Amino acid sequence: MTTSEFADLLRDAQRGDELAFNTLFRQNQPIVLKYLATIAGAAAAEDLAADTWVSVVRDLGRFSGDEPAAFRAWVLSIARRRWIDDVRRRTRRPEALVDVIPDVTAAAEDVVGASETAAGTRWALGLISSLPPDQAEVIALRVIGDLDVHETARIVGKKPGAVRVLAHRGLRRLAEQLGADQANVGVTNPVPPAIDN
Amino acid sequence: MNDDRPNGLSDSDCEELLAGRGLDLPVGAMLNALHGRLGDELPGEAAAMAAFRAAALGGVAAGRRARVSARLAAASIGGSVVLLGGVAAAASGQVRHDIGSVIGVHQHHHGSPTDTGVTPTPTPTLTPAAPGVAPATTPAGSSNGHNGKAHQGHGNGVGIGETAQPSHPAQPSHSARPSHPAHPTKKPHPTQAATPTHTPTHHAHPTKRPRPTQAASPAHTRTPGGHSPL
Repeated sequence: MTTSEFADLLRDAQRGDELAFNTLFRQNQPIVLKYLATIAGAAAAEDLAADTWVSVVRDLGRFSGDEPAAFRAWVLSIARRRWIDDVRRRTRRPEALVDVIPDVTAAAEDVVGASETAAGTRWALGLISSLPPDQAEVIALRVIGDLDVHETARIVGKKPGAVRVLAHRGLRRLAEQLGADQANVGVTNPVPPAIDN
Repeated sequence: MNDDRPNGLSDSDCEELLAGRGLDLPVGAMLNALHGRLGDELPGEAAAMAAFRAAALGGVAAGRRARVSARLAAASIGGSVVLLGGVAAAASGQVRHDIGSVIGVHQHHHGSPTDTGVTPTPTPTLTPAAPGVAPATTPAGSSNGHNGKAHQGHGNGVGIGETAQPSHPAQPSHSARPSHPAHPTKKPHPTQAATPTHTPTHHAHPTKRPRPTQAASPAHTRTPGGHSPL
């Protein structure tokens, strides 16, 4: 989508065009869901995404960007705030949390084939979620949100250099989990050693 | 930064991976899998669209409320202006004068030094000594041809002063009451004589002399004695 096409779409949505807003929703909701699943868990992702879109609808008229990346960054920043609000609410009223982190090894299969399926996406999200939270969030924003280092830094409230370091550390940790010794072999047999019998 | 890690990922490798390249690495394939869909359906779509519709309807309602508020504000401002105008007119006495003009109550104003253009004393131009001057100051008497003779014997000057008043001859309320001057026991108002609709039949009474100001009417063709000059 070009910048002008997005600007028209956004303007129509701000004027109340349901089709335009639905297009924006369909373009960004998968990203919001995966980002929230990474930082908050898959169980809470849908509820937080619903709260996110309520806020997006409420503040849509005040958004003034004209590029898809800017809108995506804005929506993800709202999603992050909703997640922080949820964490604070749960802190005030503790409840039995069931952290649903997918078993990384349970869904192990051919990564190339899995990349085309929902199961492969969930498996990849599980891997990201196993990282330290700050590293997982930065990688999610950069890869899932397709944001550059500066937009990511603005959302998480860190300097670009710190964001870059977090992303690199996270990727190295992921590489270790996937088997650093197989990395040089290629992706023909990237199945984790734990289940590669 | 640290390019000597056991996993072999350099900083440039990391940047390549984050940029979507380097898919020949296992971690690259894993990152590519993040772009896949979680499912065919989009959870929360119905709720988001409902929220959008509610917000759109709320915006329409808010706009409607804003328009109504604007109309009410404009009406209140207009009402305030009218009220202030009325208060100002009442304070200046204009309302009392207008009400008196409408209901025909002029006696209260006669002889008042503050009345507009009314002089309580007879002017020399309307006296018999200067008969030809009166029509110049009284437009109503400019075509009667009596040259001020109708004012003979009047003496008090009140009617003369009233006929000289510029605003009263144009009062429509006097012409709407043509029967009043004909009342046998009521003295007609001097200004009523200045109205062009005044009929001369009332002044044909043999025992009643026409009022001086009535002679100043342009439609009046009677002589003071009730006889037509024709």
